[in-house]
Amino acid sequence: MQAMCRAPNASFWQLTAPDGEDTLRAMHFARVIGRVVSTRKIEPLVGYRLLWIEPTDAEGRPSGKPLVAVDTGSYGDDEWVYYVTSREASLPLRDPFCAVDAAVVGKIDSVDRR
Amino acid sequence: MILARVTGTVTSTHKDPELADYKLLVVQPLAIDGRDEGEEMIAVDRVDAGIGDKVLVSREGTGARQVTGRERVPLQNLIIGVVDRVDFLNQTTGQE
Repeated sequence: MQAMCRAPNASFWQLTAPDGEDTLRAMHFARVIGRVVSTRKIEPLVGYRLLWIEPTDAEGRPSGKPLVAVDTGSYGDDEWVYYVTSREASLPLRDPFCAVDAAVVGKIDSVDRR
Repeated sequence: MILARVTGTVTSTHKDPELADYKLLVVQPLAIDGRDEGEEMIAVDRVDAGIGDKVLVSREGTGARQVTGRERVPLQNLIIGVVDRVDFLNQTTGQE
């Protein structure tokens, strides 16, 4: 998916997909809400699970449209995680140039706030 | 790069090995006038920032890989400085 800048009134660090709907956030919170099963896929993705994740805010409340992300470390259902997008998404995979645009890279145990 | 305010710390034990021993913080992006703008996000701290600090966040993975020296670190937001003060032509914000 190619990302492009949103219209001028939007915040400059937000990236949107060409349809203007999806926000491709960078290093954000999400909750694992499901799996995507695919057996016929490109070779670099063989062996990796695909997760449905729903972006959340820093308090765990849903904050955006769900997306599919590669599972790079056996993250489970309903876990609170964080994910990277864009070029960085393929770095944890066997083939660091694999064509993916989102990957879960860690599980959140807790967020401490003042 | 953007300015942001540190609003929390993230505890995460199960994560990508390349992210091991990095401190993760929650940062709230700020508009030019210092108001909160946009969604909070996670950033890796390299300058020992703490909750309440105003920081400079680089949102570019290639630079982050260069700074950390880890070629395959899946990292997009890196705190690269604590902001002491912001000067404009006709005013100053933040503490001296």
